[in-house]
Formats: sequence, structure tokens, C-alpha cells
Amino acid sequence: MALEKFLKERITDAQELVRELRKDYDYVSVLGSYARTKSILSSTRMTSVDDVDNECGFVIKLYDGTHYSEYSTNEIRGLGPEEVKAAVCLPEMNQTFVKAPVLEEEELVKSFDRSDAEPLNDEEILNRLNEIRTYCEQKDERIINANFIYRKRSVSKIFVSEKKTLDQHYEWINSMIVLAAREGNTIKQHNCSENEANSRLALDELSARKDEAVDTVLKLLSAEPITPGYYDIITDPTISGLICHEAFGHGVEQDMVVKHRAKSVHYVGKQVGSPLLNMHDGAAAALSAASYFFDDDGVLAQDTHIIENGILKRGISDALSALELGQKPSGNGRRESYKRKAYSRMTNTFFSPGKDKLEDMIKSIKHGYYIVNTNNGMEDPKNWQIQCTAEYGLEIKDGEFTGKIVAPVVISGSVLDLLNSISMVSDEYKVIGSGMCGKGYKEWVFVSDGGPHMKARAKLG
Amino acid sequence: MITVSEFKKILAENSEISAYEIVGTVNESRQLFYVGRELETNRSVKTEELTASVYVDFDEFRGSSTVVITSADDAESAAEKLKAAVIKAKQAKNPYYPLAEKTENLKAVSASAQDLTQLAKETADAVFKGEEGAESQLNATEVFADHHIIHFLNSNDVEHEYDQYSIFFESVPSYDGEKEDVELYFHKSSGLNQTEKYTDDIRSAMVNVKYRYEAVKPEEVKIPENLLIAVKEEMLLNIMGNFAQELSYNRQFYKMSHFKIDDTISEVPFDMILKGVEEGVYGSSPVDGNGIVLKETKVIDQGKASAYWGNQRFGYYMKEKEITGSYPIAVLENYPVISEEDKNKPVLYIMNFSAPQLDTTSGYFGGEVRLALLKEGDKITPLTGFSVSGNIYEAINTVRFSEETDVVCSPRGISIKGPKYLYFDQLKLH
Repeated sequence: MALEKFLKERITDAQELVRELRKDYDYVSVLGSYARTKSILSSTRMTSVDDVDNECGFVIKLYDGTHYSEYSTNEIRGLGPEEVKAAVCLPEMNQTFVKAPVLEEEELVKSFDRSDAEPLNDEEILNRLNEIRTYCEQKDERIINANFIYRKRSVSKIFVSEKKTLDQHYEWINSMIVLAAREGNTIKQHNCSENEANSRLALDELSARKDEAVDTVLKLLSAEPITPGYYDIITDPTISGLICHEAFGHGVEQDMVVKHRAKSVHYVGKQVGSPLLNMHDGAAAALSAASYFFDDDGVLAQDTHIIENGILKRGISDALSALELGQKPSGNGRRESYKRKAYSRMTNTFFSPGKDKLEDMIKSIKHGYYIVNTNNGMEDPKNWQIQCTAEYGLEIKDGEFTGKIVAPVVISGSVLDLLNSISMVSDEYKVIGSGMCGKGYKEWVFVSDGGPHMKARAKLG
Repeated sequence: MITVSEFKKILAENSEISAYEIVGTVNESRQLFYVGRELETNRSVKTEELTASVYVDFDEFRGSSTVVITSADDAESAAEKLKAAVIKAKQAKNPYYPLAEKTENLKAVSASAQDLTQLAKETADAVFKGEEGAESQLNATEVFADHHIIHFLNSNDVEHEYDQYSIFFESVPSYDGEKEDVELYFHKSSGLNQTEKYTDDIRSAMVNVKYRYEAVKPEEVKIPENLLIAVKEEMLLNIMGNFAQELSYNRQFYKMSHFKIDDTISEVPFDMILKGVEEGVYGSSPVDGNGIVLKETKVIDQGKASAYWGNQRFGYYMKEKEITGSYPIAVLENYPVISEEDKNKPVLYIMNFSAPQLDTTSGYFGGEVRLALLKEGDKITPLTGFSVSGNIYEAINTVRFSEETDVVCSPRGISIKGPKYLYFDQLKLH
């Protein structure tokens, strides 16, 4: 699999459209996007093999000396400059505009490809999923629903401007277990996922987690609500990743700085967390769900070292925000689809590993919880409050697990308090590429996040 | 782009397809992005989409697969996609279910098209009007005016064509003072003709952000013991949306529901009526995704589960005689409003959660509070930096409803029309 033929054939059309529109506009670019997702589901009551979330279309971006405009359309072949001008035309509205300069670019012509190293056909995938599902269903009659999902996202994009002609194709596989168990009127659900750039590996890794998944959902049936309060906690890599994402990922998106929404602007060069903390983001920072080669503004992927030894160094940006702030863009301009705007968005966001051993971290807890499995979170970029929801927590007393399980667990409080309380960071880490991230309550994009195990003190509820 | 009628012909040429549904959508949108009141980006969208579900009957099974036709497809590649879909459908060994039958075919596309640029501008103006005279300011505003024309047809001669207009905006009021600056994120989805409401909502948001600036932690004030806690908007949407979903065919079929018909959902009587169309409500639709024309269904009658609802497939699997279709709107009616005595008690109004949580399996609900207003008579104390939690399956039994009403629209779930606030007395503050 490589760049979609349709997009390849539209590169010359895009170049011609850019040439024509440049006669009237200071900046013109064309982004073409062709994305497909193969989704295969094996569940207790249903099977499906579908194409989902497919899209194919273009964004034409223009700068007329006053502001930026965009037109999203399905096809550029035969599309004349007058049609584009008419589409973006605004009637007289006594409008003032943000004074943004023209985007400057350097000459770049490049192609990129990263395809599934071990693709499987639909039947092979379904057979593997059915096999794992049957195994789980037979392990305990309290399992009422077992869902096994394989999703392969194949993305082709072209970016054409006066100075750039770029194309890329990449694939990412997400496999997931969703188990539900019931005892009387108590119902619990457990999710886990494995993510790879290789289909065979993604399914092998999913299969390796089947026993753990069944044990967990059954244990959750006896979970109790947590007694709210402050506790010493150890976060697993999914929760470390969620904290990283919510605490400082959204907070350093530079379009939030443009909108005067980011407190981080006052903290660059200052200590924002424990000296044990190092945080990265970037499509080139890890191989995971958000690993592309260039962003939706045609900027090459990078690895941004956001927090160095607890000190906030820099943020992440889309091309327009970087331009407005006089910065170099970091390759984080991402769109939900070709029908939406590009914003500064996270990609692969994670804390780096430290030097501690997990067993020493557990032994160091007098009374607290091991917090496991990300559920969701919410950012507060201006006021640095945080809310992270975990699927469950395991009680630790005197350095040992007691066997008590609490669920769900919500971590909340001040970002600075939480990050400054980090006292141990494990020597291994994991980046998990199964998530989606919104901006506010919309603009969903695929992201990964992760990190090591971390010991902190936090408010749980 | 292949048209719906062209695609129907291509489908008819594939003899292995037993049944099909086609959905063609034309999307138009005007999107305006402001920093303060200055326009940063102006976007225009005009696209088409074509999706088909193809069904193949084999042995005792009905397999299905979804095909998406894009602008990259011509007649030949569309036919190839259908061949591939047939192979995929044969791997999906699902129990048979019929597609929706023809009752009435709707032709309900607006006779005259609205000007989306004008709608977007009117929305922005209404938002900015709400900012006028306020001590706080709007840092950023985004406006989306959307129009979708939907053409649905299936192999049982069901054919509908209708359109939907909708408005979405988000705006971020901010208050800058000597202490740390604060903001409150505000967003709203709606149908048309709601501009006065947008202005009122923003006026309230401008006042609330100042309250956040002034807010203190609960430990700094004396919190009364017999406290009622009032929730609204997204939390109300989560709570009432969940009770609707508890009675869906889907959740019943998967044995994930806590309630069956005639079970008491709440000791406090209220009705919940599901419907397709309600003026001004985002997502109003006369038909569902399977082409079923939506009639009203009362799913909760005076606190008791009275009917199930849902889509064609799960309705058939549940052996429902009359399958309702999937609804976008729930209306709450016939509920007792909060008594004067309760109203005069101290009430903690949760104005903004960070992200309201509701775990549908355990019933846990709550979250971190960005702003709450403690009202004791005429005294208002703004609070922040704490959490509330409870169990909705217990708390619903003593719920009180406000007299004031509201419509809370959900872009992805069920929109709720009903009381503005739900009052609870069994929640923990921590």
C-alpha cells in the first residue's frame, strides 16, 4: 500500500490551482486527504467487517492580506479559482481582522511511506478475534459481553504550496478488548488495547492480554467506591500519560496562547513540576497513533521537549499560531478532517522514564493506591486545574497490595501541586496509541500518550 | 461524485446483495473563528458523502458491511467496493433482521435555503452582544452554521429527503484582575432562531466568570449540612440521557440495563417522552438512520419504565412489535417542581464541572467543580476547587426539578428539553 492513486493524480491539479490563485492571494496551499479505516468486530452478539470514518477531500487555504480563509471541497480537478474565491467571499460586515502576516515557507519536495509491515486479510483477523473472544466467554459465565475490535487506519495526504510538494502514506493498527460482566444488578466493564504499526503484532499482543482482561472485569464486580481524600498514588503508564496530556499537553498548545487562554505563557523557563519530570510531544517523538511525517499545515514532524527536568521550555504549534507568535512551527497543526480547521494539537505526548524500580515504588507506599487504566480527562489551560478519571485503583498498605479494588477513581486538583508532588519515576515506560483527543468538546484527533509509573500525592474521589 | 440514483443502479447490478440502505449527504458550513472580536479565520465547506450498508443473506444469517463512496470513486471502483463488501458481509454471521418497511416517504427539504454566512454572523453578533457592558471579556469565539441535506433510501422502497440546519458556537469568557486571571469555557449547540438565547447565555457566562475569579475553596467557608446540590446542562444531559439509554433495545439486548418495563426508575414521578422533532433543538430529525419515521414514545411514565425504544436491528432482535426508531430528543414532563420550603434551603448550584462524569454501569456521577454558587437566602458565595460525587441510581429517588426550563442539546447523543436544574440531596462534597 502506498499513497492513494487518486491523490497522486491530483498533485498536478493542486499545483495548477495554487499557481492560479497566487495571482490574487499572497499565500495559497492545498491539502488533500484520503483516510480509510477498516473495522472488524467480533462480539458476543454481533460480527462486523466494515469501512468506517472514510474521508476524501481537500482544503484550499488562502491569505488575502487581511486574514486567512479556507475552502473544503471533495474535488479540485476542474475547480476554478473563481469558484474558490466565491466560496470564501465574506459580504461586507464591518469586520476587523487579526493582523497575521503571510506564511513563509522553505522549498521542500518529499514523499514518505510507512505501511503495515505484516498485513492480514479480513478472514485471518476475524478468526483471531473469534478465537480470543470464545476463550474469554468460556472462562466465566458472568461475562455477558465480550467485544474484540481491530481497526486499521490508512492515511494518505498531499500538501502543495508554491514552495512545497509533499506526500505521505501511513498506517496504524488499534486492537481492543471490551469486556462486560454482570452479577445481579451489578454491571462492570473493562477496556484494554494494544496498538502497533503491524497487524500481526497488534493481534498477538491483544491475545496475550486476554486472561488479565477477564480477571480484571471480574474483580471490578466487587469494586467499592473510594473514600475521597488525599493519598499517595502510583500511576500506571496510561494514567501518567493522561496526566501528561491534560496537565501540560493542552496547556502548551500555542493557539491557546494566541487566544490569551494559556497560563503557560507566564511559566516558560520556570519550574512547573518535580525535577524528575521530562515531557515530550511530537509526531516524530515516538512511533504511535499520531506518528505522521508532516502535519496538516505541511510542516515536518518533530520531537518537542516541552518540560526539561521540571522546567517548562516550549510549546507546540500549528503554522498560523506560530506565525502570530513569531515562533517556528512545531509540526502540530492537525485537523479532525478536511472539513475542519487546523489547530495546535497534541500528537504522541509522554513523560520520559526515570531511574526507579516499580517494586521499590510500591514498597514506599504506607497507604495509597495504584491507579490503573485511563478513562478520560479534562484540561483547564488558563487555570491549571486537572481532572483525570481512571478505571480503577488497587489499594496498597505498608508496601503491599491488600486485594481491595476501588472504582472508578477521579484524580483532581491543581496541576502544579500534582506535578510537584512527583517523587519517584520508574525506569520503564510505555506510549499507548489508542486514544482520541478533543479540543473543548469537539475536533477529535487520534493521539497517543504515556509514560513511566510515577509516584505522586493526589486528591482522589 | 457519484449521485445516490447512480449508485442505486450500480447496486442493482450486484445480484448477491439481498438488501441495502443508502445515505447521501450534502454538507454546507460557514465557520468563523475570532480572537476577541477580530476575525482570524473564515472557512467555507461544501462537500458530499455517500454511504451504503449492504446486506447479504446466507444460511440463516444476514451479514452486512458498510461501504463509503468518496470523490475518488467512479462507477467502476464503486462496483468493486460493493463486490468487496459482499465478501465482508458473508463473514459477518449475524442473526437475520429486516430493514425498515415503507410507511410514508418524506420529502422535507426547506424550500428556500438559509444564508449560512448570515446565520454565522448573526450568531457571532448575538454572542458579542452578550459581552457588552460586562466586566469580563470574551477571549475567543468559534461559530459554525451548518446545513445538511440527507437523502435516505433502502431496498424496501423507503425514501426520505430532508434537511437540518444547526448552529454550534463556543466562547471563552475571561476575567482579568489583580489575582490570577480566570476563564470559563462555554459551548452551545442548537437549531435556528435562538439568537436571543445566545445573548442571554453569554451574559450569564460573563457574570459567572467573575464569580470564578472571586471563588474560594469550600474549606474557607461554612458549608451548611442540609444542603441541596443543583446540576444543569451537561450533567443533566448525562443523567437524563442515561435513563433514556437504559430503556434502549440496544442496552436491553446486551443485558447492560438496570431496568425493565414497569420497574421504578425514580420514586419521584416524571414522564420522559422521546421524539424526533422539536423546534430549535440541535439534531431534530423526522426519521432515524434506518429510515423509520419517528413518532413520540413515552419511555418513562411517572417514574416507571413504560416502553423500550431503539433502532430497527435491536428492536427486531428484542421481538418488539412496533419498532420505534432511534430518537434525538427527550422531553421531560409532568414532574413536581421544587417546593418553596426546599427552595429556601441552602442550595449549591454547580455552574461548571471540569468534565461531568457518569459511569453508566456503577451509577457513579460527579466531577471536579470549576464554579459553584452557594445560595443561602440572598447571599451568594462562589466556590471552586472541590469535587462532588454520588450514585445516580440512588440519588434519582429524591430528585427535585426546577420550575425554570431549558433545552440542552447534545451533538452526539440525546438532547433534553425539561427542567433547567435537577436538585439532589445525597451527594458528597470532597
